[in-house]
Amino acid sequence: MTSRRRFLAASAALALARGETARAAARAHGRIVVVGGGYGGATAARYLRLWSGGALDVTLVERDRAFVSCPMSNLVIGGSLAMADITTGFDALAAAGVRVVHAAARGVDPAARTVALDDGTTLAYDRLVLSPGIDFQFDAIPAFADIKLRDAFPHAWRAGPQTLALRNALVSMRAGGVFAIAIPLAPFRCPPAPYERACQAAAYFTKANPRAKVLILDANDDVLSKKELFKAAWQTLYPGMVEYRPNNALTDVDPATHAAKLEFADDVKADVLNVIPPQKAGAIADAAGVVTANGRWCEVDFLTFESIKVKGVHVLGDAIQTAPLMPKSAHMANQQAKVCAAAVVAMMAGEPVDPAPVAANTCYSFMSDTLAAHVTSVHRYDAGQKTFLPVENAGGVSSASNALEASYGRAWAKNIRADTFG
Amino acid sequence: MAALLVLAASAAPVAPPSTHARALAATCTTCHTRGGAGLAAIAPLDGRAADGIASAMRAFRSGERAGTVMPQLARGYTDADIDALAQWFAAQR
Repeated sequence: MTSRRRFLAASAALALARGETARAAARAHGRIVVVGGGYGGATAARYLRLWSGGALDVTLVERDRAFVSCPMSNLVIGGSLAMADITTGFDALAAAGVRVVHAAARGVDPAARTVALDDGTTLAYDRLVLSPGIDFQFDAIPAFADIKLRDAFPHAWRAGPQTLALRNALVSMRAGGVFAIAIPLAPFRCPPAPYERACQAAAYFTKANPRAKVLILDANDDVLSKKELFKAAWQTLYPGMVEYRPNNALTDVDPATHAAKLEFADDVKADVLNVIPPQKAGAIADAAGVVTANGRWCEVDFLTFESIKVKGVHVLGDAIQTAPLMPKSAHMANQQAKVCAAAVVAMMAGEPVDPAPVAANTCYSFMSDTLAAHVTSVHRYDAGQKTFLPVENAGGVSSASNALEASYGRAWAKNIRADTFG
Repeated sequence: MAALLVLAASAAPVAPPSTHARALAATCTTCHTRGGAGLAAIAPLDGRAADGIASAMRAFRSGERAGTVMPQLARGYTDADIDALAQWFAAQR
């Protein structure tokens, strides 16, 4: 072999081995618009650029100038982290060649393949990826017709101003007061998070307001995730402080008495009442016509995350009708985004998509500022059932909350942020 | 050019790459962040020997090696998956 031929062969082998310049990438070209810069959308935008070798023109439409993470936001409410610790900018995505447009998407024309933005501009796309997160079904709480009350009973279920508002409400709560968390029926964003929030509030009160109570009003009939771990934390770390009431569905609030109205029980007054309303796909999903399940969630083809109804529109993250036992979590949104990005790169190159995608989930919950526990699962595409199914005997939960898992949990939070936003 | 040749010559032998192997590895990189951007408490895998990654995965999967999340996650991956993702990581720089 001549040295020139050897060089060419070696270069090609290296390029192939590196995997970023696979055949599909070289051929992929076109315009992809991603709406929503959270864990799903930002990951999709970043990996569309990476896996197309920079050949795809990727625009990310995101309303906010910085992203505030829901994962770890309960630690802000508990006081061990600050808002700055859970806030990320979009500069690294822009440096990776993603065009970041700070505007809100208002409408989608799937026939013309355009997205209308609230700044009056219109973006054309070959494929559209919607990762809109959640919106709230405020009409489930009649008193919330008065919009001011949505701040008086904050959800803090989209991290941002309400996260800090709820933190401040706990700090200023009277000595011996009651903090109540009202949890809607599943499915909702991040099933373990309400119970983690109870732990974080209790951790704070133990130090600052030891006679305070944390009352969990759960519409569900039991703790939805990491059940034994949360119940153990409440009993051993916060004895007498946390009370869990299953089958206590909130039907409304009474602003005059600051009480939760419950379906099957007397009103419960609380000094701070955290109402987590039921949820649905973010509004742009409705505007795009991709909400197909119960008027709430978006059904997708799990090989590509393309809507089952609207061609050319893919949906990721908390907005989708999930596969069996697939959680609405940041980690899962990141994993779905990679399956989607790989499929879109292949589709834009006229190549077949991966017929056997895999997605894994890891979710840490902090029982205090120093103890955490995890839940994991692995999901594989089942060609017969055309959905992801959890792998039997894989996945599980921690045997106990501990400090090692807390250190891994903090590393997870930093690393998923780097993987998602660059 | 010389640098490229040296780099290529030092690369371990790898199976033909595929987007499936890349996709399998991408299920790991949410935690095992690429490019040194993450906290090293979760080990970066780029450029590690394929044999080391694969044998660690198999040891987690069999229960021979203890851990927190990894014994549970490893049980979701087949032998073919493990070999493919290990070789993909080994080829990264």
